Amino acid sequence: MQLHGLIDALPLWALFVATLVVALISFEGGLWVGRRSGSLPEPQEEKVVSRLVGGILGLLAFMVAFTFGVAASHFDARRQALHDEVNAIRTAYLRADLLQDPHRSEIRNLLRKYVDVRLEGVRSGKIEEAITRSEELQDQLWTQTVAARENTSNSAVIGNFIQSLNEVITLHTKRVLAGMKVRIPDFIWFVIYAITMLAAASIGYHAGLTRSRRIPVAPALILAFSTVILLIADLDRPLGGYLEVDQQAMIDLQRKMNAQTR
Amino acid sequence: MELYRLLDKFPMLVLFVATVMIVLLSYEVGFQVGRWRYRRPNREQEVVVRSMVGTMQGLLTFILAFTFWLAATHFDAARQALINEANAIRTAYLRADLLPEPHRTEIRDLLREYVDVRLEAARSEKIEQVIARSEELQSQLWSQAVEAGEKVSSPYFTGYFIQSLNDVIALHTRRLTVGREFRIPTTIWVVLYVIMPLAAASVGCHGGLTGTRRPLVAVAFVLIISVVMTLIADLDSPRKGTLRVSQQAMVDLRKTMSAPAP
Repeated sequence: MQLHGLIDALPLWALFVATLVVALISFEGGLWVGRRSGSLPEPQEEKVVSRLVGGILGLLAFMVAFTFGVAASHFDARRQALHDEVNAIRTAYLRADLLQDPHRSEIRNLLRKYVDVRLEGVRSGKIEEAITRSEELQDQLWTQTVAARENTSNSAVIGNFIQSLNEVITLHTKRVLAGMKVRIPDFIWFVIYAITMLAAASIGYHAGLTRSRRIPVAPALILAFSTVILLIADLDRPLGGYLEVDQQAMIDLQRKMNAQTR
Repeated sequence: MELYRLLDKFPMLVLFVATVMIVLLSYEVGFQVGRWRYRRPNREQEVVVRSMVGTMQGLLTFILAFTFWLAATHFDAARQALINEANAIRTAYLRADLLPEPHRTEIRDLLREYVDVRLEAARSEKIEQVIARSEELQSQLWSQAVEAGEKVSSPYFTGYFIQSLNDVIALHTRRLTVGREFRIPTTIWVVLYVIMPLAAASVGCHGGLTGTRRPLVAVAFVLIISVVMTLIADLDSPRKGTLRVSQQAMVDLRKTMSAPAP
């Protein structure tokens, strides 16, 4: 069972509620166990427990914060890949201007379709379909380029165009990788949830052991951690979260290309 | 609506004051809750609360530090994009020398105007206008380049120029994207403003539980958090606030393009 498959399948609010509930149950469990223990602990014993709880909580804070850092840089990488792709397509589109007709208009049409497919893929969420369609268009573009090469004597111009077309193809692969494959590994998710549960249970245990009453700080702490875990899941999710990579650059490109249809 | 667009409308001072108010208020609420608990018999154990408050602060510190790093990366990207753009324009300007007249003079005049327009962007608020004018100049440059390419016998020279002109155009898009979209996402802002009051309230609650007066250090705590938050917002918006990207590279470039400024 893929854990991040499960995490992706839940809507974000459900994930948030689930995290909150799991942590609260662990807290209550710890509290119950703590209260069950016979007599009040010696001051020395209490100190040991306090240190241990502090250590577990510190580890949880570290893990969650670093995973947040990793998820945030993945998000930035997705944004960067989109932006690089937009520039590569634009360069190829401009350079196609230097080729001979009919290849020139044929290639420009294909590139316009390519941009439409890219945008449509993100909008509809049918990523697999968009990838297949994009790769078909790449093949057609390549065939056209080879045909254009056979028809012209000007090798420098063709060379320039081929360079930019290769760039477009490379960046397609890069975007697919950054978007779909670069994710927070299952094992990290597993560890985060395991530590969260253990940490919540040990706060509860500590409170129970000292016969402390329920403290408003404990739910606040659990709420804070659940919020950050929600943020990590959101940053890590390629589609369908509250955070989506802004497609504005690609939309601008589409507009420019359509304005330049000559 | 992305939250940073809303944040961009406020001056940094307003953001700072608002943050101080939020943190102070949360601290006070937490403090009152703690004090109320303190007066009741059978209260919470201070040690239990202490370790939780420590974790809460740890979490806040980490998330603030990572967000700061994210904002600093964005600021750096904006600076880098400006330097790269200046270099690309300079290369295009030099390579235009290899083109035949009248295209050479025409292209050099256009590039000079382009730099003037870019410099204007840093001073004026009419960004949309500057972008439109830049893109007009780009298409003029491109048609000049295509014309020159058709006339000239050595395709390599035009090839070089076209490469550098593509770079200029790509870096324009890059600067736009970096300025508009490489920002701290809304969810991160929301999470920061959820964790921050929770952490401040927990610190306050702990203070109240000890039955002491409000310590003076609490003010320092509130101020430091607010300063860091404001710094993050300032770094994240390169066109606003006290931290702005230096235009020196572009100004120097304009000086080397020996011609009187209009």
